[in-house]
Amino acid sequence: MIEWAHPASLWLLLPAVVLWWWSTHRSIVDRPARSFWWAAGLRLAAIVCVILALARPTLPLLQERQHVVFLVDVSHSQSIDGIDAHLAEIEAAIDGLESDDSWQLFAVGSEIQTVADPETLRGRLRDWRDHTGAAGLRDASRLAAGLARVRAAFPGGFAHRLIISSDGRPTDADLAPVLTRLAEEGVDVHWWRTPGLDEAEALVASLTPSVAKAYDGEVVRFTARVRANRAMPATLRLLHRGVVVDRQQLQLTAGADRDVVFDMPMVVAGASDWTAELVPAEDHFTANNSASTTVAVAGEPRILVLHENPRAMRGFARALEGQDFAVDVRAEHGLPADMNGLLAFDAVVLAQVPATRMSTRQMTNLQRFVGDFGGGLMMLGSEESFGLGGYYQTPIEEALPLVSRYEKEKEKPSLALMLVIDKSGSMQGLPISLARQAAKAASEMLSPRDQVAVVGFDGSPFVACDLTFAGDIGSIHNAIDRLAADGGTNMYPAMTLAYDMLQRTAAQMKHMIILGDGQSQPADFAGITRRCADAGISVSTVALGGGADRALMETIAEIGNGRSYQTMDPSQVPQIFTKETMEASRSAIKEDVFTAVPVDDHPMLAGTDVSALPVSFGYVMTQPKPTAQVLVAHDSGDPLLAVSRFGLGTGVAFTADLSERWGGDWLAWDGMGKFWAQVLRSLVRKADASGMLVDQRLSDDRWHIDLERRDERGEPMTDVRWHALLMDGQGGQFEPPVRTIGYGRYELSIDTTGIDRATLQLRDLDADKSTDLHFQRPYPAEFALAKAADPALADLQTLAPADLGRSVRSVEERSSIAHWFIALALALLGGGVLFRRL
Amino acid sequence: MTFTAPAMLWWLLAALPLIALFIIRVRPRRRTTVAWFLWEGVVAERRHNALWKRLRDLWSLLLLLVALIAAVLALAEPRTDDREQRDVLLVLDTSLSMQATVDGDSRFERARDVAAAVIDTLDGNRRVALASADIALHHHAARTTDGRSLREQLATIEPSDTGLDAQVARELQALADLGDGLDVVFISDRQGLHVVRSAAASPTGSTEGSADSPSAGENPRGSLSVHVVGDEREVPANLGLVAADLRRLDGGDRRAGLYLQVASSAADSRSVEIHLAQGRPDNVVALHQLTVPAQGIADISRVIEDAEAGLWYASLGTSETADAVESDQRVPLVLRDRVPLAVAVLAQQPYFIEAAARSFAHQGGPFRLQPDPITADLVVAQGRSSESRLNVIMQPDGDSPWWQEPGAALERPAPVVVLPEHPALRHLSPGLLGFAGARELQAPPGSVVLVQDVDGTPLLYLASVDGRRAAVVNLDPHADDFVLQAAFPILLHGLAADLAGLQPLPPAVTAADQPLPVDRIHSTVADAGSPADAKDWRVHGPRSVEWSLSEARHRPVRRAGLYRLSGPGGSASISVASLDVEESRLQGADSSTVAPAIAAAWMPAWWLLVIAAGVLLLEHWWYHRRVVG
Repeated sequence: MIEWAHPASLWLLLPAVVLWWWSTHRSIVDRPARSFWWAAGLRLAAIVCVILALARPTLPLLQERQHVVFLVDVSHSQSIDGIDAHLAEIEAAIDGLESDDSWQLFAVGSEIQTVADPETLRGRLRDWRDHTGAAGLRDASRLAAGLARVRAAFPGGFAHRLIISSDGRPTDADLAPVLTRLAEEGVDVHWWRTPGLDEAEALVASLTPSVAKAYDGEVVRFTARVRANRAMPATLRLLHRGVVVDRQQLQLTAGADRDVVFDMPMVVAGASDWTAELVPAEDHFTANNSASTTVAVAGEPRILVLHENPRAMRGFARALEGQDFAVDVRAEHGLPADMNGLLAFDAVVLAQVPATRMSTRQMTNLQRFVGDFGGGLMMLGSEESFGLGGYYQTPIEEALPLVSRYEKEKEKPSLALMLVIDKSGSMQGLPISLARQAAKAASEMLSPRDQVAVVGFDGSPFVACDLTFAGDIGSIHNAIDRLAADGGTNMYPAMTLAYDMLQRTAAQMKHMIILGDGQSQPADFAGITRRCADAGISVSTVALGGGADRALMETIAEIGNGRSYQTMDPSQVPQIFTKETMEASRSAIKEDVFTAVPVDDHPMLAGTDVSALPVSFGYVMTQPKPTAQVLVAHDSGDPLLAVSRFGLGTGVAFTADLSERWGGDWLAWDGMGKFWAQVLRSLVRKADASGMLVDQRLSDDRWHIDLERRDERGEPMTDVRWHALLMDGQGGQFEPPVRTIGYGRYELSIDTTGIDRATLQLRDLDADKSTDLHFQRPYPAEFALAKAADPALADLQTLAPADLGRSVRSVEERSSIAHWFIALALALLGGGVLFRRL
Repeated sequence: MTFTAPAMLWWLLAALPLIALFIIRVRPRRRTTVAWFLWEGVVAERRHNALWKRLRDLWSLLLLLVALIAAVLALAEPRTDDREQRDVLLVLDTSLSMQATVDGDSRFERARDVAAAVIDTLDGNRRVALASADIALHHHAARTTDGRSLREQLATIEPSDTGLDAQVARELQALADLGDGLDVVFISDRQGLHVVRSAAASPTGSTEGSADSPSAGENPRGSLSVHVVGDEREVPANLGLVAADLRRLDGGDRRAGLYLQVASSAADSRSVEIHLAQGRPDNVVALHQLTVPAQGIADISRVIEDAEAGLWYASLGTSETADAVESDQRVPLVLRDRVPLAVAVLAQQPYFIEAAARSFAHQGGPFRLQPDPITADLVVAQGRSSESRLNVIMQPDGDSPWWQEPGAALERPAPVVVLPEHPALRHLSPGLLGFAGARELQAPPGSVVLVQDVDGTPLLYLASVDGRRAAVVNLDPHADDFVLQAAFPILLHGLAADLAGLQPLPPAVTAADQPLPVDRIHSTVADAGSPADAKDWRVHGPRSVEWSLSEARHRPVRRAGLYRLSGPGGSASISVASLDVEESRLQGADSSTVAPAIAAAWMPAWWLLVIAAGVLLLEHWWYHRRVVG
């Protein structure tokens, strides 16, 4: 039955017939009647045919042809040989198709790609086998997405058939919804099951704690699910913060999951990272051999104390432990590298550790720990604290109540500081910029009576700033800005020039700091350094980067009675320079007997007889920030104990120390434990999460968090002002919005693309309650080797490759027959003319 | 210009016999006459007009040749576009914002008109496929040249009540990138354009077609273009409910908390009246005024006293001017009561313990008493062990996995609260409890001790063994008449609530872009039976929707309205609403560049056929206006 695509065009027939009749009826043509009417009639028929063609007639036809889409899973869970073998079957099936049939081939993995033919895919298999092809495509089995996408590939007028060549273990979503949709759309789907990976493989599928939040001392059961595709012995280790705390020998069974249980007491408060690590006898992928989880442990406040010599803090630690604190005393490199590690503590005490022992990221993390996460920070006095430790103008100094800047006393000897800075081409960019910043910071630390000079060197020396009194800070900074990186490296002439300049000044102390990042041309460095030492000029050196001549720099510092520094991180140069300057000026420390004088009141001093505080035998000279509250001062007037808020947290500075050197009386004081417990209790992080119910889940690379807020009576709280802060493992941070979705209900949704681990702080701004959530990306699901295929695939009807060309469903297709009408019109036109002319 | 079927141009040879026919001289009709002299003048005149006659034949021939050439060109299907003919996937945006109606036509209707115009231009070679997009991509017609079936499918597409998912936008780009000879044309509005642009800018959007992709080299990629409809000069004013909640508050008195959030796309601040109706939409029981800032969001929270469980409706009252989208004006809300925890008591003297449990067994309360401990959710045992899934055990005695080494009675326990902040101890001062009748024992490893004697004997602790949990209260509840004290029911409630982890009730309304929370709602139906019985349950919804539970679990609803979950044990209502801020807060026209409009003109072949028919008629008239023969 003819159907019309544009039936409205048929209305043209009416005027056409009328016009034809009008013309014919009034005709003056004198032709025999029969010829006349044949000619006129055929003309009318031709016109009608043209108009019918305008209406685009179609004729429904039953077609027995099919379009076959082959979707080949090329993920890691498929062996390359297995895919290759299946391609042969696909080729045979293609050969068996009828000539009217058509087909397409797609490869599916982490994405779906069209492939011209099986041979092309075979070429890619060869690349993968030879490890020359990029394997990103094989990192996932996004079968559900692939099935959804190939729906657009089917043409009309064909029976639609889809062949899935896979082991049937998708990593993106269940296949049931998309298979239902394909069935609804009339696509005949079949699964040609591939055997999957045939290499020996064992993995940790998951590590699940019995509770997400535990209490100190609680035994938490960790269940590690392990599996293997063949029987083998293996060792499963449980690691806490990277240290193996338990291990079990296992005999894995092929194709069976095994749950291994570890009962571990929670002895460390805070966010506690646990990892299960499998060491199997045979293995193919290593990426899936571990799984991690985080347990939040509530318990005693945890204090991290950093000291170059941890033994010196034994007395302090013992006193705090007696006051129900958990104290972890670590050496100078003990500051955790990431925020998650820091958040395991409630406060950090920098007892004696120089800034040069920390990376910029560690310092920034510590600042955020205080400012954004409400942690406590306390710095004790020592030769490595405040400006002496290189903390001048660092992120850590921002979080402290006292600054290193001070007015140097008049009786101190004057200093001439010579900065000899490598400005060769290799210093281009960040290094020279930081070197300029370091020189400026060093000059700012000097008293007006001191002098500073800056000599740059490349192939030859360059006096950026001649010896200038430090009071003229503007000129010095302008001169330092003239340092630009260019040329080779020849340090000796610069040292000679610096020596000559220092020889001319009458300053009582003379110090030279040399910064170099490369190999200088050979010269008599020992000789010039010895001449410096003989002239009372001390020389310190900074070797920057792996290309620096470290041995030479060490030798110069040794001969020059100075200190040698080596760093790979240019951002540490300012800390080194300021630390050197402070040490050279020997002006920041006061040693005598100083009595503590109460200045101000504060809750952290409640219950303490401040007038009876012990004496100190020395301290680091500092001055308070405008926002700081000096609670106790030395009788000399300098601050002893000061406190200030920094963001959500608190910073405390104690300018004396708590070791035998300056704090012997403090250690002997019987009220020490109680006093410092009181100080630290007001300092530690108060992560009160009561009334915050959190439900979190991860789907499609999004971290969904449902929040419910309740008051003390359990009543849902509305109109809560939330602040959410996400910090990823790379130090990046952003504030995801919190949306109100119901009565006391709130939600966040965070895109975790590109994030491996992150910490999210959720804070109720009005009630001062907060909770930290942790995210750790598991290894890609592709390596989990799911045991069973998706059950929705198993429900599909089977179809052998040899039968692909048979049992094709008939499909009705409407074909346009407009061209037949046009051809007919042309024939009728000719016929009409024939009757006119003959 | 190129031709889709150039072989048809051979039909031009048909002009040759036509011309040949015109070369043949038409012989006049032979008639017998008796008066030659009368014809002499006529013959002379005809000789005189022979040139004119020949010209008239020539005109006739030329007209017929024009008609023939036009028809043959139409057969060859000429195209003005010289590029390779690629298939087109027309994707209609069916998200909520497409329902925005200004001046009688909705954006969706305009989008459908655009799609219909494209289908009308099908030239027999270029294939068109049809899809719609909102929370997912729905394919309606495979690639075909059959305009009629495409139009039939187009007529079945209707706008949904969900937003446009960014993943779908990425999917469109991926389809274009597939190198499958497909250009994707997304017919949408400003909202859709924004989502497509955002998806293209996101990191996941850019991962498609990596260097590893053969589509980059083997097959040319298609294009994704967005055809924007709804080019209103001003942002259409729309106020819509974008978040809603109605939940039972604890503490009896049948109180409920109501939360509503309204978004506005109006250019000025609008005052709106919110109607709250109970049972049916016209039974308004409360009115609330709310002022929504220009293109902003405002919300209200209210406590409703004595609120009956069941169906409620929140709707926006008549606004000052016409509202562009109707679907987001009203939200049905289902106020649910919690299914109480079935508590059984195993004790020699159960009366007072049951009385304590019964005090929380009022309507809407957390407990209900159940005689059979086997089917109970939680068992309260005294003087014996209990190994149900959840247990509260008082006065521990005998062997049990819940305690070890039971010993002598403690003389005078001195309780020390170990975890005062533990939620199980909320509303309680356990340090003031006497713990009379306590005995020496040890908690199993991994237990959480909440209260212990000063010598370390656990007095109150939570333990977990083989997936079962228990709270062990090391005291005799009848000693010192503890069962008669106010603290006893509070302790029982706190421990039971902590053990059961009373799950929050399903939401009062579900967003249309989510699957129905059928499992959570199934569990709230008192006699629903075990999950194994769930296969007999069905979901019925608007427009004769009927799903099994498994279907409903993973199928986004897409349509706002009331759904009903029913089965052998009873039934429950499920409310669905659009609840999408971005969709309700409509965007209007802006000056940003969008993809060029898709061609929607009639194809050249159609016009050629019109010309052919017209010229044939003209020539017919021309021929019959003269004397031939």
